Amino acid sequence: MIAFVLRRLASAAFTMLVASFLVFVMVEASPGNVARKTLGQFATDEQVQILAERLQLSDPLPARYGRWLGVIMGLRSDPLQNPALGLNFTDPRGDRYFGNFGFSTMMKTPVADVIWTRLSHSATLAALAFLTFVPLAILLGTVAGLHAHRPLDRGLTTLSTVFASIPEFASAVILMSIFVVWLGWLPGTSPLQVGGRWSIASQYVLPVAVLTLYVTAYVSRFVRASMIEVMATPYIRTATLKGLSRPAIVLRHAFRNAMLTPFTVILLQINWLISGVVVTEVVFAYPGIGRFLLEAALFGDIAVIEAATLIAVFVAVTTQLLGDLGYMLLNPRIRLS
Amino acid sequence: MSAEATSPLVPAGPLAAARRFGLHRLRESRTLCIGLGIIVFWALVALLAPLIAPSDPNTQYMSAVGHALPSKTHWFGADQLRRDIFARIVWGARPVLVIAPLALISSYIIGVAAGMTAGYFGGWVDDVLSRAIDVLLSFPKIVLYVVLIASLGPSAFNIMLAVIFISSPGIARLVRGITLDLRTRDFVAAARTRGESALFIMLVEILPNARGPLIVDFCMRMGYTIIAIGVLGFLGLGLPPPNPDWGGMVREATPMLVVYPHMALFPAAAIVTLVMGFNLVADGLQEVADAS
Repeated sequence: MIAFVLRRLASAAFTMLVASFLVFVMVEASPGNVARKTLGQFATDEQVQILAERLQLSDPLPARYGRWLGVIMGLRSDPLQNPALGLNFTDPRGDRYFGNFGFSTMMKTPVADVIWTRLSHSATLAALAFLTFVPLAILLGTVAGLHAHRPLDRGLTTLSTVFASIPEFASAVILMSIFVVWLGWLPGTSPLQVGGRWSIASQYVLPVAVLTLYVTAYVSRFVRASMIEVMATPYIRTATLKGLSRPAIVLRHAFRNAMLTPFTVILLQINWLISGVVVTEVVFAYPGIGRFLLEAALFGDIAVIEAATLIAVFVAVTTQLLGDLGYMLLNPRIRLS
Repeated sequence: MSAEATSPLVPAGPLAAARRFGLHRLRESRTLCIGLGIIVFWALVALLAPLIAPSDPNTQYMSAVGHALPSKTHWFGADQLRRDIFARIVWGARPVLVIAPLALISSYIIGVAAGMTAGYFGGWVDDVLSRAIDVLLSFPKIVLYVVLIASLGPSAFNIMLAVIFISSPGIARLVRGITLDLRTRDFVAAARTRGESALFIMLVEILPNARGPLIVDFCMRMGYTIIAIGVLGFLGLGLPPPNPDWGGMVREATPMLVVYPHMALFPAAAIVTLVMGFNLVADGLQEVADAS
């Protein structure tokens, strides 16, 4: 079992490494681009050329990637923070520390100053959505699975298809039209600012609802399929034949086994939640890491794009790892083999 | 179902072909019918756009000043630039229904090639390809779309490139799994004994037998892809203005939501119905496959 955990850890680390290379290539592949975006559109071509030379941007891609990774890991000092360049990129943490994502040209501060607060906001939103959709999806999926191919199941399945067809921005627009424009019960934006008309709690209602609508529909399908599969197994027939009541069968025998697959699905599909969080944050002007990424992408802030993408991939890879390990702990057949 | 496709006992001809693809079962699933109906509806709208909405969708109507709400002259009302929303939705069906299928078919060509190679040959080829697939799938899709389009620049061609780059790995993983299962079947062993080449076995023996799950997957992916194109438009990374783009229309209308919700609701409804069409077809096909 320890061998399995170690192998899984090594593969997660490898995935992360290759993913970071991909991020680097997507953002920094063209050398002129990097110097131009660092200096902004008002710099002259000469200045751009000088910076490109100082940063050795004409070196081969793998060498540049190595230096870039070294800066983030805190093994090298950030060349952009060199006072001799005159960029005025100063960081109170120094120019060499773990998690040095460089300097944000958009915010005019080190990325490390802003990104972790943004990440914690996104984590709060995701956690609230998680607490809402997991019980809901399990309930709906179980009910549909127990009534498989009967009208109730057909109704729920059709409903989940309908909701899975509504992208977050569309459901946000629909919910906002109802609860903000028509009824006036909720705020239409969630900037997390205190002192206005709306409490912080009320600002969370619509973003969480939008995320829940989309993900619940998706996850409840897996719960349903898994429940149907478990209810067809011999041990459920045995339980029925020995005269157990239906609630006892469902709760004691079926439920735990039926939750195995959805448990991994929920953790493995964290990418859905992250994607959803990005869009939801943009719709509601929520100060999370997803909106930060989009703003950086539209502005051309290389350091923030890289930092936000790396963090998103890290979160995804880590949750998938936890999903695999959790599945192993829950499932004795895998644990013991 | 899988044995039937390669069996010499199945008669040839268009009728048999229709039967093999389950077209005669259309009536068995209401879900499938409704889904197909919706897709055909939008396909006709896109095809006949010049007949349905003859005026240029970028025309700005002075008469619409102060009359943004739906009316007899502008059925869905006018947008913030006094353009006819009905015409923009009709013409906006074109880019989606061209970009999504084209990009997805290209993704399938790459995904099927990679997935079959990995699943059929196994060994180090499989290791390398599977690793690459894992890495690409570890990115949250929208994050990858945003980074790619931000560095490539927003255009129809780049959106297609992004869709291909982001969809192929998932398709490859699915095809690899199916190939791993099918290559142990007797008909593959028979073909090997006949001395057929690997390419022939993959294309003639394995691929046709994998079509069931692949068709369902294609429909679901059409749904995701249309959502992704809409999301890109909504995030400001979609087709460049002023040409009509459903996601972009929702984006432009969101600040006006408090005054004129219809400007955002109509294009949102267009995206939702089209996606729903593909999801219903996927559901219906699955239903029919499960029933037989």
